[in-house]
Amino acid sequence: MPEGANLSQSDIHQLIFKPGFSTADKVTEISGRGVGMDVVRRNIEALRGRIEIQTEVGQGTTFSIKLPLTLAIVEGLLLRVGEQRFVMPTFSIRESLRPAPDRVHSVQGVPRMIQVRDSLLPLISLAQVFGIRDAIANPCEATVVVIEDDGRFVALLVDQLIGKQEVVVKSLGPAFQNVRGVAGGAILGDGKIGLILDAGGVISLRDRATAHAA
Amino acid sequence: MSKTAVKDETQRSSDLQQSLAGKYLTFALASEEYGLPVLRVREIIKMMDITAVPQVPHYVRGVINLRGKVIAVVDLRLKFNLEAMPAGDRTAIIVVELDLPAGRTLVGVLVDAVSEVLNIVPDEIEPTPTFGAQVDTTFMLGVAKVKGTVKILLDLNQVFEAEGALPRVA
Repeated sequence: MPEGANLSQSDIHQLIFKPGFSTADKVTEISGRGVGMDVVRRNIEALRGRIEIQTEVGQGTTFSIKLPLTLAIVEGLLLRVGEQRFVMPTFSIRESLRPAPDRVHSVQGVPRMIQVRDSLLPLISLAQVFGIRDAIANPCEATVVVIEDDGRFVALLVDQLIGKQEVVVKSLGPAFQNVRGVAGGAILGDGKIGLILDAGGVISLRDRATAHAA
Repeated sequence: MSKTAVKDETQRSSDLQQSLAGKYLTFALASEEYGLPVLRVREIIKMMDITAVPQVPHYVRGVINLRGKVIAVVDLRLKFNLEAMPAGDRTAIIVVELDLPAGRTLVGVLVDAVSEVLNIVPDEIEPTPTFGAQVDTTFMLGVAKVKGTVKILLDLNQVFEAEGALPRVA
């Protein structure tokens, strides 16, 4: 920077991002080398974002980080089955209800069909598909979520609808590429993973399950 | 065996010893001790909640959240047909880097206890003994005799490559 150069306020602020630039008197284990802010800026730029600084002497400083939504984000309903939570993308959901006892039809003692208005829908228990033991078995005490894929309607038995949430879709990795019914994983607010369901896959799982049972 | 054949065998053996020598992370599975090339080990974490995933072989326990990355966890006991055991206080997950056809993948391996990093010298290494046709030894790089114990040196890519251990569900 030549002496006497005319710099705008924002140019001066951007100086702190220059590698090697540091105002520290002493170098400690974790600071003072002029590395930190450069790393921050590089990482943000790698995500195609921007970082801006607004500052006033004696007043405070605001760092604004702007990041584009290029990650795969899906809006879904959070479903609880036993201790596990799943995310069902909103676009697959048609309605949710708690059926009255006269609307639940069993086959050989197991609830298999739910009557919704004039339609009879097959009931898939997510607890059964995922091997979850401590789930509610009686549809009349639980929640039924009607999903649709390509014209096929199916009723899913879950314990509870927790809420609506936008989640970042994380791929499960090459190991799980061909697992049907699961589109990926989402890291939920408490750090636990909620599997993101795929309506078409879940519906076809039911077909497979019946084939095995037969 | 002819003289040259014996010499070839010894040469191959010592080449093997040279190539396998190095640092290994040793861990325990039931009463057996294994070693993993330390350069493949990314990190070691304590046992944590594993989210089960359906339609996978019984030894794939599910997935975990590793600082924002979702990685698969394989129970090595189950993979090696040992009896399953509930997690103890020394149970750990070793996060390893595999070179799979799909690319570089991180996988978590569930083990009973992690021991130490050993520097194994060529003299301590023996080629994998043949146990007969019954036992599949493709996943063993060799065997090391260290301090009176025997450690089985694992070839991770083989453990996960053989019979498509990372599931390809039809």
